[in-house]
Amino acid sequence: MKKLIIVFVFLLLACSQENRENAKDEHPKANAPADWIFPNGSYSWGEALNACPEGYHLPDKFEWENYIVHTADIPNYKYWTSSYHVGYMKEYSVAYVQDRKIYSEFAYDGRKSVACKKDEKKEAKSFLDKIAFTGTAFISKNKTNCLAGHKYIGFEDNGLYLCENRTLKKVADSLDFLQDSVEFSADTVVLNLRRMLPCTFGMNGKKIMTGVNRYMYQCYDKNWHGLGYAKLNPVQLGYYKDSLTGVHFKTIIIDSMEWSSQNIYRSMPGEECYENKKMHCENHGRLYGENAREACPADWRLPRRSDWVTLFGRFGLDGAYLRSKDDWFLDFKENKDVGFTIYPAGYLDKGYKGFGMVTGWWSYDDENRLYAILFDGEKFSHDYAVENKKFYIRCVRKRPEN
Amino acid sequence: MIVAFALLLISFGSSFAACGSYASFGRSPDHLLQVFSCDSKKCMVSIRGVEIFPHDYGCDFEDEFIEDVKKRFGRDVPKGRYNAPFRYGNMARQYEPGLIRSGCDFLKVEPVYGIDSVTVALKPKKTGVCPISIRESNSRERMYLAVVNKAMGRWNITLEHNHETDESYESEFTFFELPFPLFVKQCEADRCDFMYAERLPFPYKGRKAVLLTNEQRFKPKCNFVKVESSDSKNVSGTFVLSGTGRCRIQIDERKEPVYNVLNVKKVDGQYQVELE
Repeated sequence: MKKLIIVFVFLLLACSQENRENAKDEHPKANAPADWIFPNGSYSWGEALNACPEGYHLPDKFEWENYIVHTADIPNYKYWTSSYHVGYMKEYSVAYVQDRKIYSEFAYDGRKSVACKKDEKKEAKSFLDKIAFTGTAFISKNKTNCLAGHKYIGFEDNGLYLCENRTLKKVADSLDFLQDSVEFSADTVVLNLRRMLPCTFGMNGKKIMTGVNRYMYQCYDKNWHGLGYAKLNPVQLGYYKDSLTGVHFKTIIIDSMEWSSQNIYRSMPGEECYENKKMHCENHGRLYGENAREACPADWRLPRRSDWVTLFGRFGLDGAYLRSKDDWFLDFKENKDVGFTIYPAGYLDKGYKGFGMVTGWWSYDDENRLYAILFDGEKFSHDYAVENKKFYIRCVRKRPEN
Repeated sequence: MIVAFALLLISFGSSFAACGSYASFGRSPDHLLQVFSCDSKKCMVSIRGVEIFPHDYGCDFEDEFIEDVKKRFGRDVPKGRYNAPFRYGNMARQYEPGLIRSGCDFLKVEPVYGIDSVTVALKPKKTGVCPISIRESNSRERMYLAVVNKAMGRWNITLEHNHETDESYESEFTFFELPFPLFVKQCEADRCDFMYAERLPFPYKGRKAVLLTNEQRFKPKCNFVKVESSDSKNVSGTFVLSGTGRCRIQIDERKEPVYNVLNVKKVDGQYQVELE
């Protein structure tokens, strides 16, 4: 009996230790904004989708990004987010938050914490600077495990889908549009996706234009609303020649900006042709070092980040409207070059690299630092590690008054 | 007191999950396909569970373990074969038709029954490189490249795990670690999906090959094989068959064309396509 009592006491101590461990799991709330709550306990993915009380929702990736930026101390747990996708490689890839970062996870069969954010209507804000936007909160066609109660747009068929019991059900062949045509604005995101995009709270107020048919939609209260066809200014093609230097190139006028639609071909110290072959210079322009900022003719300048962002806002991030129809190694299904004509001309980084696959141009970031914008045929990215590298040059200027 | 103690023990015991993970997340899954025990005739192959980490998973009770093994591995485990703790350990999936497919006629797949850690035996006829596919789910296959060698009278097969990149999801294309030759999948009636991964001129995110999906770059030189494009980005296209025999096919790689010979047969009324 004595032994039994000792074991019992030991077990009681162990239990109290376990309780203390559990107590640590209570999420600190001191720094949490008032519109966020952190329910206790851990949840499966299915439970998490419906874990928040009335008037609150499971935050999506955009809301978490905002929270991370504005909240100093974030408890270091894994939280489910409502941003997820069903992909080819990762059949069930679910986003979660830990260590102030947002991750995707291979499986969704674990248990994680849940945060809930109060529902609210938001004004539309531009999020075009989030170049990594595509690839997050959308779902493949004909897949299950969607976000309960949210409406999805099928970008291939313009159909409207509702998520019920984690399965997308088509509720309308297409959305009714409020008007025939709509002014295209800078806060519109252009998506050339073949998948489906849910209207989540973080998307509230955002405008979407499909690159395929230029239909515009707006997200409000978990529902997509059809706005109309995007009314776009047609692009104009032109030609520029600097009589002083002889520098000349084709141009493309897009809204208020005029771009060189060819890479610059101007003799300067340090410039060179890809693989030192004149043929490459003639076809794709010259590669320049960090003295690139002097290469554009008077009145013209290197593009800034904001110029690129405006370009992506008009034509999307996947490059279907911007890349050339030829010379890419990959057989792209869509080639709708509007005249910007990006060739996969490579770049120089301890040797010539990427011909057929990628290319890059010198640009300025928001703080006027020189960096490179890179393009691999499907998406744009940037690179600050530009030392001893050589890239091409596109020049840009404010559209001349007629 | 004894009653309290008994209740305590019961509540303590039931606080565990019945079956599931005994480790934290964050590890890479064990390789799906493993080759071992090669001799002069064959190599044994095990297909591990999908999307699980076998050494970390198991069950608390034998009944649940038996049920779970049936569900996850397709195996009937008799009572008493395993002792607690009931971990999956080296458990391999039970063979079923279509689970594993060899892309060449010199590497035969033979089912192995009765050994929990073995799924099939691979029987080579000669050395070479052969694509192998494992069906992970109804919609997904995982590719491997089997490099077959022979030394001191024993076969040696090394497997290059040739999966798609994470980036493939955001891409129109499917990228692989390595290029692989024409691989014809199981035919359904007169239609057979096929795959072909071409070497990239430059590595893309560390991957060296891309699935060639332009059907116009596959040119059969016979009238009983036609090529159609596929909606799936996981296959290169579909062969549509209207007869049997040998058929030369030209594949237009970017550098220069390559040629293969398809041997189209009908076995039990079902089309079979093998590469010569």
